[in-house]
Amino acid sequence: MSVNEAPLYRAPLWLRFKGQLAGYGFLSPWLIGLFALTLGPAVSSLYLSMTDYSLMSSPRWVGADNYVRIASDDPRFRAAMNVTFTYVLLSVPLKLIFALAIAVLLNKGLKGLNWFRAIFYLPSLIGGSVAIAVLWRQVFASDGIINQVLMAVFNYEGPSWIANPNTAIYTLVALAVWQFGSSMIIFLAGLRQIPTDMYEAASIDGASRARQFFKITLPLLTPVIFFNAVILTIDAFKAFTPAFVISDGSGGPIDSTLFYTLYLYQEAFTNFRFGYASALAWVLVAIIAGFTALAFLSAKYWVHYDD
Amino acid sequence: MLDRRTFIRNGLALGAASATASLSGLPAWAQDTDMRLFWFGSPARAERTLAVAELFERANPGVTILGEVGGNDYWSKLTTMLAGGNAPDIFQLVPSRYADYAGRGAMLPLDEYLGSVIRTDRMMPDVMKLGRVNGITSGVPLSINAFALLYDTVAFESAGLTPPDRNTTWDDFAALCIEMTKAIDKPNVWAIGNAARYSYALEAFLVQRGKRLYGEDGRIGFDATDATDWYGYWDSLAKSGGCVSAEVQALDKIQIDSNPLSTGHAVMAIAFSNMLVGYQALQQNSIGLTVLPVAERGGPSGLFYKAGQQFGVASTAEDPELAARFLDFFLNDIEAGKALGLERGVPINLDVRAAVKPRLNEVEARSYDYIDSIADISGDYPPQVPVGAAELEERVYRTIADQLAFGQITPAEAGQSLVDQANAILG
Repeated sequence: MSVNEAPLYRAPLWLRFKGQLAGYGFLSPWLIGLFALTLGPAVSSLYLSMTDYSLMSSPRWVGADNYVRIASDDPRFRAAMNVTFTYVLLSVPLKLIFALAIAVLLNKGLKGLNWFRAIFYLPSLIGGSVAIAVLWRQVFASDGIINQVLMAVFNYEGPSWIANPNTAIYTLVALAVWQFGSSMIIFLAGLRQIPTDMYEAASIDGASRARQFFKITLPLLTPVIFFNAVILTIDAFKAFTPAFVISDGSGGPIDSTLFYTLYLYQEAFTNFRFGYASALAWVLVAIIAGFTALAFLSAKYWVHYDD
Repeated sequence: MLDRRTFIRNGLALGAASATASLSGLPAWAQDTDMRLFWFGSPARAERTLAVAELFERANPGVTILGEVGGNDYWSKLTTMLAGGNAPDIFQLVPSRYADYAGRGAMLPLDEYLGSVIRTDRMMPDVMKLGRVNGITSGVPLSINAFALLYDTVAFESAGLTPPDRNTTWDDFAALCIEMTKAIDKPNVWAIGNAARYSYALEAFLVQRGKRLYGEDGRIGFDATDATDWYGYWDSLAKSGGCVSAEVQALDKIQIDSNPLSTGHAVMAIAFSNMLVGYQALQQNSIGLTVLPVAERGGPSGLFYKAGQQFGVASTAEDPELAARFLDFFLNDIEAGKALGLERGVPINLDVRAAVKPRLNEVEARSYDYIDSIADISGDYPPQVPVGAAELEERVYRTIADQLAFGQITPAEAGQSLVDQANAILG
């Protein structure tokens, strides 16, 4: 008699569910959170996105009007997209490069590695805070540290980086790149996974350090790079605090730091267009989903899984 | 027969009855009532406001006032609470955003309490107009103030220049600013901030021409030519070095501590009379107070009494009458008035004003005297600021002035852009 034979008896559904009841019980804190705090509001925001809803009055159904306006007739939406894409396309690659470079350095078996790791990670812990954004405003002010250094070293009178519409966004990119710590920790963990015998074999074959990096480290690290890139991209699209604090919620000067989320926030809370703001939120969801999908589709061409 | 169970039941009933008895016969508000009061402003304002709350609590046993102070997030917090149905019973508003809340039904109409619960017999004539939107009293003004030009008296002395007065025209003023900047002769210090950004300065400019920032019909009360003249004035003043650079101006969040006068980039500011106390607190030199420049000598001053701030009662307030009684206390009680002083502006109750006057310190007296001194040149109360004005405040006035200052647009484009955007928002 074969052991693979199908079982003669299958428990009825309720009995099988009963067996899993304990499991659902343990999951319940998360399930309640998901349904009450995430899915519920998400569904109602989807509904609100098709209404005209200004605070006190009850929502008025307008169908796709909000989405049509976003697509065809909203210069500030385009300004916000411009700012946000600039921010994402600059901050994500720069942050990845920094995180990887520092991780590779730290992986050389430095003395006091734990200390360095903690120090480099520190900005990620505190970087999202309001205090740091305020500090950043000082650093890049017309008489801030950056300009004092420029003056002392190059005798160059720098602009007021934060007040100038041409440079304000780059101070926010710099603030983001400075917080490379969490990606760095993940890269470090990834580097530890690469078997050392590969490097031994390569160096016996006469491969240079650079060649080892590009032929061994980088390919074997691609799953980690992929992971970090996706997470960082999503985070960058959702960035809010730094722009809010540095421009005092205005997105200024002249909308040059009008992040998408900041625009959404303004539409809801200063202009009382909750319906329109909900539509903006769903457009952001679609954009992030699109980018993530692209990343996963592209993954099979450049991410090497070791299996 | 009395068993244990009956005994307990009767005992409980008896206790409940006596508890009820002790309450009946007292006015409804004598039950422990909490009332939430929400405002924004400096710690000094919080101290004074809470002092009034304490006086009110003492006069009304059982009432507890829970004060909440907002900061930069005041408006989003207030909006969130209103939308969420847990609004504070009484909240503070400013004229520029007043109708945005009142016109959307956030506040309870107070007309039935006016003249009875909220006494108006000793108030300035017609001052309650400053709380009316579309004919409905949605809140009450807490004080009045007026536009003023603030200046550093020491800077004027050492430059040997005379501060502007009633006869100073805008052209005189431009020449004065250029001269002052030269006299200061320090990098990154000018005579005054670039006031193209301030809607209230534009408002005075328009009133002098017989126009208004907002008309009675809820739309703008000026045209593109007026706006272009305004932007042109500041553009040429900026180009001739009379007012601060674009980069300095862009950092002004239109608050006292971010104004170029306070940050050390200027020696004058166009502001409100009640802000003198705040500006002076940040300065060592004595700050003087004078009228704004005028379009022509002997013409309208552009000045009028504005509401300092307003209080509104939430439409969801549990005990509207108690809230109205608090407003009455806040405005009409002499002791409350003494606690408040001039921090929010000059009191609207004439008795309170008289009681406050001898207690003022030297700085407050300057602000008070200014309000008195312009009585003969002040115009009518302005029409109510319309719904949508908050959006204009938040992103239109500042953005257009910055675009102009950074050279992205011309004054004519700025003027047209202001009219177009205002028409789009106000409808």
